[in-house]
Amino acid sequence: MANDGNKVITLMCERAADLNNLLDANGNLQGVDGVGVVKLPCSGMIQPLMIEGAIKAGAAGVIVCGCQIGDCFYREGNKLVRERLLGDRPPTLKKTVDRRRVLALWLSRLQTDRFISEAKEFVAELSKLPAPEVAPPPAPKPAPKAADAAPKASEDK
Amino acid sequence: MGWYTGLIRGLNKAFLQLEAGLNAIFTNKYNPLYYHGALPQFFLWVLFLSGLLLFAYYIPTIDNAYVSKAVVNSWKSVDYISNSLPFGGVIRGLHRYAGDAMVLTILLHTIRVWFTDRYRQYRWVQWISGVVLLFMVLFIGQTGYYLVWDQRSLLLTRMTVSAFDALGPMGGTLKTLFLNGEAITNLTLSNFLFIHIGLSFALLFGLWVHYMRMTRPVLTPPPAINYIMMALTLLVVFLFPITSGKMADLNAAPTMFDMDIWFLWPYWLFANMAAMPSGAIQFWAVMVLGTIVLCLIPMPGLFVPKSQPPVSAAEVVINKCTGCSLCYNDCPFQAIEMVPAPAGSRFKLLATILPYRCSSCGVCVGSCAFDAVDLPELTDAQVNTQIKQLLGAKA
Amino acid sequence: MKGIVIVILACLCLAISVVGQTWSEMGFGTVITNTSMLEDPLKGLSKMYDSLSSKGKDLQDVFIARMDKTAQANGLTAPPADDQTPTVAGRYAYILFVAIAMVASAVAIILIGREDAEEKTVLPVKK
Repeated sequence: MANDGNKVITLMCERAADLNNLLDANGNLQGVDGVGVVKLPCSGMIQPLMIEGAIKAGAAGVIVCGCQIGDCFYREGNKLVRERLLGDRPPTLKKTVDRRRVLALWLSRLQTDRFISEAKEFVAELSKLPAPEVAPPPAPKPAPKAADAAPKASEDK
Repeated sequence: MGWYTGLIRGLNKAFLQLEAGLNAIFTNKYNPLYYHGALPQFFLWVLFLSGLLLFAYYIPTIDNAYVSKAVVNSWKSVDYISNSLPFGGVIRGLHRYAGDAMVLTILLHTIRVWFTDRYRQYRWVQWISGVVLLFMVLFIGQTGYYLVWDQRSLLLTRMTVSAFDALGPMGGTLKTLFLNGEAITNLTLSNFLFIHIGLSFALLFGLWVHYMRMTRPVLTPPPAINYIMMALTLLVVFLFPITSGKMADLNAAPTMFDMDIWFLWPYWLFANMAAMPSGAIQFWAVMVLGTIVLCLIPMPGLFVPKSQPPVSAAEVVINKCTGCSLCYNDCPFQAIEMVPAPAGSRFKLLATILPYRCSSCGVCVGSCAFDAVDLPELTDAQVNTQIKQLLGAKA
Repeated sequence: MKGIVIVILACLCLAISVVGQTWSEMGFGTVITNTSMLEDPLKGLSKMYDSLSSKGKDLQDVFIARMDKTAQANGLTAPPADDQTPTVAGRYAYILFVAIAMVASAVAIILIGREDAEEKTVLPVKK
């Protein structure tokens, strides 16, 4: 199949479906072939840029997983990322991103089995799509101007 | 504190299972446990409206037939409302039971907030204002019981005065403020009415403090849940109609009353403690200490499993921020402000984090199209590296 | 199937409101006052009220029993039933019907609204 060898990346929050017992040392999910997991404090942290980057770098698809809508520990992270994915809230996914390659799940910590079954189904569906094109490495950027080279800092009030 | 951590984990798991069951019936859109803060707010509106209707006919005086046969006092006005006005008894019952429901839903809200760990660090303002609001609600409800001016009201008033008596000179001042004088007179009842209504409006100010550190606070449950809550309250009004006790007589010494545990538990506690030597001052010690302990619960390190890491606030990358304000709009905890950009910048505004409000959730990171904000412990670059590693390992 | 349940609930809500609430507010059909404008429609309704009269008696009895219990808890004896009792009891029965109608409508609303709730969001593919 065209997508063999391409992985599905899961971006998920720490409090959603409990996968701690199923991840190996590299972050690969046991129980489903070809799924890697990145954990974030909240699904609201997921930038559309991260999803685009993952697909450009060769992921077959991206699963976004947050907590049940209404139960986000940080109040509304999952609602916000859901709106971003649906295009109702900026920043949105670029139009060039294949929407079939993105799946969003909103599952509580107990719903491990549901996550596994949805992930399996997603991987199976992705295998029917043509392989994603890996973007060529970007052209080297011109040297940054001196004014832009300010160090990182936050302003304390 | 291993037993404490175990208790919290156990409660969390039990409630997640309960929620799973409720989600199967209601779905997450209508799950009442996801609106536990909005439910007391709903009952507050019911209380305001029913209270307004009662207020239109209520008269705060204690004069009884000794003064004049024709005089209308508090008890008589409440009797008129309950028995002569169409639906007066229903509105009175609704007011009473909506109050009880409010205390019940506040307690459920408190318990859920506590064991889901949503009260500490950046959320301490919500917790402390919540404790203050709870005591305000309890006191408002107690003044509501005084207003009926039946034998229970008289007994409660006298118990309150004897509780103040245990506090020495300060107690004397409190007693004078409470009775609006040295003895129970008409001024006392109008004082009770003022407290009942005035404190209720002060609740709105307290709620502003309670909500101010949250963006888009969820204030209303979905209408379907409101109908069910209202229907349950009306059902209780039908099943347990309310009557007043005998009219208060200052010459009598009532000793027993029908207990409403939701509001009158301090009186139950006082009655039991005052029987013992120096019980009254011990009662105050328990109440004051209990309140202080409640307020201290969010203190870091206290009552908290040591495995919880402290929060490190997000940081803005100043040279990348374009001032688009998306992070400012999205932050769930009002932790970002837009300030004028420094001189020489191409942009008008600059985002700045208020670290004491930041929860380190990363919603601002997710909202930024310019990689201009980062969580120091998990930067965008680190996330992208993890993604590439996962992809690279397989290829 | 769900559509049928929703329609039934909606009809139930309407029937309870229109029949149950008017019936109880008018003291279970025994106290019809101020009806000069509504004489003709009410003649039809009053037949329905007659057929419900035994249920009205039952509801009144429930109410009287509850009032007696409350009065006892307050150290009073409840006043004896008089010709005002159906009116007073009717007002409490009114809110019982309001409660039932509200629950019926809430269930119907939840049945409809459930479809929006998500545990899984698949992004729409624009053509």
